Amino acid sequence: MNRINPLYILLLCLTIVVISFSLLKDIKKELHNSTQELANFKKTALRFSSLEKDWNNRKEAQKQINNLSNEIKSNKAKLFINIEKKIATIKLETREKRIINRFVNKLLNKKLKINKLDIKDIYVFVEVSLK
Amino acid sequence: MNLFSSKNAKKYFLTKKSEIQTKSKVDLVLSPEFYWIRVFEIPVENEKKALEVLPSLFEDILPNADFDYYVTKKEENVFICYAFNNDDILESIKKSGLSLSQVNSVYFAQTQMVDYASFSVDESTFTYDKDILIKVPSTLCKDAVVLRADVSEIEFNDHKINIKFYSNTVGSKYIYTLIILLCSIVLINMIRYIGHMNDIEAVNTKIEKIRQANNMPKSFIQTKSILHNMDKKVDKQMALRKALSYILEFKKSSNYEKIEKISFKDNKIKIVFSNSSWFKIKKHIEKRYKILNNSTKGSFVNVEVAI
Repeated sequence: MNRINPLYILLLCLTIVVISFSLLKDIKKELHNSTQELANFKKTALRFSSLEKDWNNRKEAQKQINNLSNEIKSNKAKLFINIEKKIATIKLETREKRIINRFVNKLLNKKLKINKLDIKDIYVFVEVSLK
Repeated sequence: MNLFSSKNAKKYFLTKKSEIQTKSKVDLVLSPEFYWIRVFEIPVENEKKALEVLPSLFEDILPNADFDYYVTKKEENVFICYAFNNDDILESIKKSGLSLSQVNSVYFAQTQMVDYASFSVDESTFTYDKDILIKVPSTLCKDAVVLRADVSEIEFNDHKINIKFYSNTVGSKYIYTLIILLCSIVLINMIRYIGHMNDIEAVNTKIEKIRQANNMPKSFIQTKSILHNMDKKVDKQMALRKALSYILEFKKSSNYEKIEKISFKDNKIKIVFSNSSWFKIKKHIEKRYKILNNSTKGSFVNVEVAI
């Protein structure tokens, strides 16, 4: 031990201290980035789940389509709903303009992915994607 | 502690005049010129405790310089005490022609030359006076054994001294204090580093939990791509609703003017107007949308709009 000048050990220690501070700085930066990533990920997850729930949820879409028949209850209108694997078709037949307007309003206010839409005086035909 | 084996080392007696020509490892015996020696009566049990009080005992004897100390026990509470200047010894070793890396162990002549009552080396004469080896003029000691500087035939005992093979202007004590301080800083930094690593791990675990809870894909690129597609679809649906709402705002100037049919397919809206003027329809629609196609058949105007 007496052959090694303690000044060299001091220098080595100083180098290790400098390296340790540099590593600490890097890991702090990494932690900061991770924390930011978490915050961004939370926002993305919230957006993802809300989009999935509102627009990409087959069950929810089916529920909203079935609700239409309750919402348009009239003797003067006939509502046909056909739900398949990937699509659902809805057809409303009526001579009442008021019912057509109400139906179109209700339909457009729902978060349904409309593929096709035909609006005429006496009927409305809608094809909704369930994918 | 010595890392080098002393078995193959040559032994030399070092005086201030010595010139040693060798390339091999050496053990050195220091002549009394290199150290101060005193016998002190110290009321302590062992050498270690005696060593602690030596600086104060030597205080009045030594010149103003840095000294290291060594002690051997002579009898109960009586110690032979040594003080030596490390830098002086290093300088003489270098002056003798040896390099510091050649030096294996260093001894005091006081402890190693006890087989000789008096001897002379390098024209200097030494003799034991009341058990203390001292340098004397050669005329006072005519029966002194003349020895060569190479004293390899002498068997050395264990009384090695701890020579520092470096010289610093700053005291080792301060340097070691600084080293301890720096090591503490490194330790604290390591603890903080590990803490931050754990925090990062916790954040990653949290992200993974959120990912699983929301049924999200594993890679961020996949998530981004799905979100992009969903946004596109939602935008398309919102655009459809907005376009329909705008088209239905078409103001009819008479009861005969009507929108007969609206169809939507493949991002295009087809509208059939009846009893209306093409210019009026065009003016209304082109305020916001591009008309892709139009035709007039009798009182019907067909318009195709891109959304």
